Amino acid sequence: MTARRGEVHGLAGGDTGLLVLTNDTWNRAMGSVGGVLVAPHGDLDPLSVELPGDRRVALVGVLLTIPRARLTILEYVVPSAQLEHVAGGLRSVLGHPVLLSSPPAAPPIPAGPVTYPAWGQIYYGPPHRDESKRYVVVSHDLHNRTTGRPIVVRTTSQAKRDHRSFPTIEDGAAQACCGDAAALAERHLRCCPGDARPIPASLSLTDMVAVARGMAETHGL
Amino acid sequence: MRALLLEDVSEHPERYGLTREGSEAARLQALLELGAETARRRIEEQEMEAVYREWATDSERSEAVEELASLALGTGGLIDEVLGRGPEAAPRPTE
Repeated sequence: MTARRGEVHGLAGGDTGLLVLTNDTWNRAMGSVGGVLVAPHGDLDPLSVELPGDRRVALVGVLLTIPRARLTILEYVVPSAQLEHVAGGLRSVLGHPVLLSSPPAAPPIPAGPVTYPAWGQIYYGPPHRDESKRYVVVSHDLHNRTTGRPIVVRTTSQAKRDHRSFPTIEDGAAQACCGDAAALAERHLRCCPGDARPIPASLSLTDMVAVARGMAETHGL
Repeated sequence: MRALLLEDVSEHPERYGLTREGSEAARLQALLELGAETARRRIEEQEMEAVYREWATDSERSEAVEELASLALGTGGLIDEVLGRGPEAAPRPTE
């Protein structure tokens, strides 16, 4: 299934869809696309964007990465104004206004104990074939604390060419797969006290800026 | 060719994103800059596509994407949770 930025494609089973946000070079070259969930109601997400002429809404905080083979028919093409609302909402959830300002700053941390997967921290994901992939949290902490569904980006030590969409991080020891960013249920990250943590367990502000720039490119933010 | 191009630029500057202000030399310079910008963008996009294709064939990455998709689309997964379906949909306790 081909997919382009701004299109809503059905997701197998049910009345949900995916509003594709990844850039069209990505959509053409990769086997997957990234975008936000389109669902019948948005009362659980204060950042939902209405889609004119469609009874569903785009849930800005529910970013997904989906293999193209799992997409079904083209259901809707989002008007550019709505697409910009979605992109703006996502920029906000990702803390881009402060992170990509000059000088860059980390998104604010809400008061109280940190009992959630925190911005900039790296956690192991669910175990799979005797290994666990590493994910860095890129959504801001108010979102992480409130929803329990942080947006994460996978990091890998499998080195390839450095590029804005796959920036080198951790002093060259790893790269971030920005186009594969997705929301994960908190329970899928090993973030409880006492859980094993990767080394390093967090990214520097410089690395987080590189990841933000990468997502701005891959997701057209 | 150059003369024809300059004539077209002079008569229809708006086609090239230019205004009617300025000398012919200034228009030619602006046109060259536009051409350079277009070429720069094209090279950047080709480079981007080459990098993307390299990652597209990475089996570890494909596995990770499948894993993330399954965690979202599977029964009781992220989408069910967001839509209030299934056992994991209970509201998050307030602190």
